[in-house]
Amino acid sequence: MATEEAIGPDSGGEDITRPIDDQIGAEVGGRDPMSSVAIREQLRDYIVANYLFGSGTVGDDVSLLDEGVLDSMGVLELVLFVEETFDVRIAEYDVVPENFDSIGAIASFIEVKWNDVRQALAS
Amino acid sequence: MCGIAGALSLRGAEPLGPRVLRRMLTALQHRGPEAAGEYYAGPAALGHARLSIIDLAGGLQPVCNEDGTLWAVVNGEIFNYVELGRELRARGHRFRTESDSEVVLHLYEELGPELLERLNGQYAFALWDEPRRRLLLARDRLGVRPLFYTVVDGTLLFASEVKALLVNPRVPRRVDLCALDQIFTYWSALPGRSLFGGIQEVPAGHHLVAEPGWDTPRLTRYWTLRFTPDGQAGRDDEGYAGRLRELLVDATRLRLRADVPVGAYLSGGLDSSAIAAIARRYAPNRLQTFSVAFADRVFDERLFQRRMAQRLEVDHHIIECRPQDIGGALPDVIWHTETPILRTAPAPLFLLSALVRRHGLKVVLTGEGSDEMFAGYSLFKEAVVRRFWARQPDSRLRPLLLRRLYDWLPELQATSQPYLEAFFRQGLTETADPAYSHLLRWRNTARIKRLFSAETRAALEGYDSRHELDALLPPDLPSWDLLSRAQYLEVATFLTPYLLSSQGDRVAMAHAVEGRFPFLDHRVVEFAATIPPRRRLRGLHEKDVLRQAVRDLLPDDIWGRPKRPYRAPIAAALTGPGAPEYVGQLLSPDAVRSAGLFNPDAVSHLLAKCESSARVGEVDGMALVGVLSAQLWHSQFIEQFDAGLFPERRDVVRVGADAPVGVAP
Repeated sequence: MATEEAIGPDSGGEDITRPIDDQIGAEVGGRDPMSSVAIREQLRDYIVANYLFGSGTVGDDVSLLDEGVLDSMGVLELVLFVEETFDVRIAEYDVVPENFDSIGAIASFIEVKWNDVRQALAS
Repeated sequence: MCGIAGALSLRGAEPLGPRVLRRMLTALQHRGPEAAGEYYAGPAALGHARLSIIDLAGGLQPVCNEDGTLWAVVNGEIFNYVELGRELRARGHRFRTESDSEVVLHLYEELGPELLERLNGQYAFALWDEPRRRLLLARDRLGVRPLFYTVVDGTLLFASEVKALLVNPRVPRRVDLCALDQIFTYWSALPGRSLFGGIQEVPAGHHLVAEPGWDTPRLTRYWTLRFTPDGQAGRDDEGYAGRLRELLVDATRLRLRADVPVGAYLSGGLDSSAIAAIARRYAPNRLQTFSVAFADRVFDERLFQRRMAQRLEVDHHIIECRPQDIGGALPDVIWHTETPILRTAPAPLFLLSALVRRHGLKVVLTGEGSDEMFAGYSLFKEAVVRRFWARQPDSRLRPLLLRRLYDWLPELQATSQPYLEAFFRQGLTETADPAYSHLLRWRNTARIKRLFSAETRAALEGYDSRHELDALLPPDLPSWDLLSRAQYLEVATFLTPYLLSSQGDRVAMAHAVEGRFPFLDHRVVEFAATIPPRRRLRGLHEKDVLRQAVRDLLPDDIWGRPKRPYRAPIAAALTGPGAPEYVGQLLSPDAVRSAGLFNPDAVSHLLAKCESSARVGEVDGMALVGVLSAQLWHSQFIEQFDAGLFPERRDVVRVGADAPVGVAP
């Protein structure tokens, strides 16, 4: 399977001669691959705006459950946000505190998912 | 029925006169529209705003005893007045009226403040004992009727509602932030407190005595709800249901005593259906029933309501509430509740009492109290399941029971099992805490305190309301079984201060409708507390003994209905294109900053989130109603309260030792 054709959508005028990693990044979320720091910042901004009403902050390793940041509705919203913002597919069995209970955990989860896609497309 | 107001001058202050008292009675007009009376003697002043229900012609108040040495104003009903009156007359007491209120005076002659133990009723009254120069204020065991007081400039002022106190320019209007913290934890200020700084309430089951010369009044508790320790309760299974049935029938029969027609609320659930069925058998006239219906099917129960009404063959009336009705009513509702609320449920009940009025009725029977006394709420099951799970915290099976408890809460149903467990696992093994059953709910609710302003947080630095709560609990409560502890807490922190007030007395009396609660007959309550826990909650079947007691009265589908909480829409009523204008105004950064209670940016974030979400979650909904109603409260009572809007009431009859007593002109 020719990789260029498999990827090649007209994703905003991307040049199909670009290196493969960039093109996979374009497929995943339509942007260049984010750094770990950027992922965490984006998550932090969302959590503060959406659950802390814009005030305060949350450290990378803070348990969202223990701090009372998330309730059942909050988890559902967070899953939706992550799916849409980072272009990953989240299954029921993924929705566990191990994956979502801290900004750090969520960021790792996203990166693992991206990695899975990258590997699948590279094979 | 009615509203009361008055004062006692302490330490030589100028006694309250008609110029102020009659304005206090204007502020209570909605509670007592039909007549008013006043009495003055030395340092004491008593006022009454009447809603006549018993002894229509002769029941004007204030009332006095045979020789005019005792005077009283009573809000509420003494349901066993017939039996007490018979006894008292047999012992030589002479009554001036046929009203129920008068028994209070004659019983006091014999027993002093201990008369309260003989009363079966729902009441708040003030009694002036001239020979002893003593004022007695009293409130019924469960706090069905309100009674507030404050001491300012050497005068003790009291009234059924705070607004009547505020018409006195000397009463300062300020916020008690500790009470705000409590409201945003327990749903209401703790017993004794109000959100108004310096203004307190006589707690349920207490009386207060004051004498000129005292600096402060003295509060005494005269009744405590005591649950029989598990294991000491009897074993006779049949006996409980039968005895409960007898008590409920008698409680209802007593509450049908009125010289006006009595109606009933039908929610569609077990409790109100049972009461209506009992009332139907004893009501002298055709019973009328009243229900709230919702345009939104998620909240609506009209099919069950109609089913019960048809079975009873009664005249049934419904008021259909659309979201805009709820949003439109909220400011008036807060004017009456005199406190912020965390859900919109009082609003449809406010509209329902208006419907009752339109049909010419003044009295309704309703089912409140059953869920607390017979363990109806999911909260109780949750406590039992969590404790069960706490014994084997690693069990995967035990927490599966939790999902069943909240089948009416879609957001919980959509939650993954691992997360469901994570939420309910918080504090799982704190089973030694007397308030174990309520910790999760309080923790959840307290999240809305994130919206407090920096000033509010600073003022509350280090404050822990738990100490005040613990001081209110019976000392031996920690030794009670889990269910009894949970029920006690629910009665003391939820039923009395919130449910009976904001969803009960205030929204009914807003339209001069008196609610009566057979489940809160003290004999029913005391008996319920002796029932073994497993007959109240059998496994996860709630209200077991009650269901047995009323089996024959109800159709199967209503009898078998699991408890479904009464809820009203929030987001639909307060957000979206049809939202009332005051929402945006009162939640605007300027308005929020000006009131100073909440953080303007946080409130804006909250509102934007509620506006844009397809579904507003439980806690966000509570936060929205809580903040909005607090802003409404602040605007109406602190910022813009205008005592000038309460001129002296014109229909006030002065009574005295010489003036005609009891007879309205």
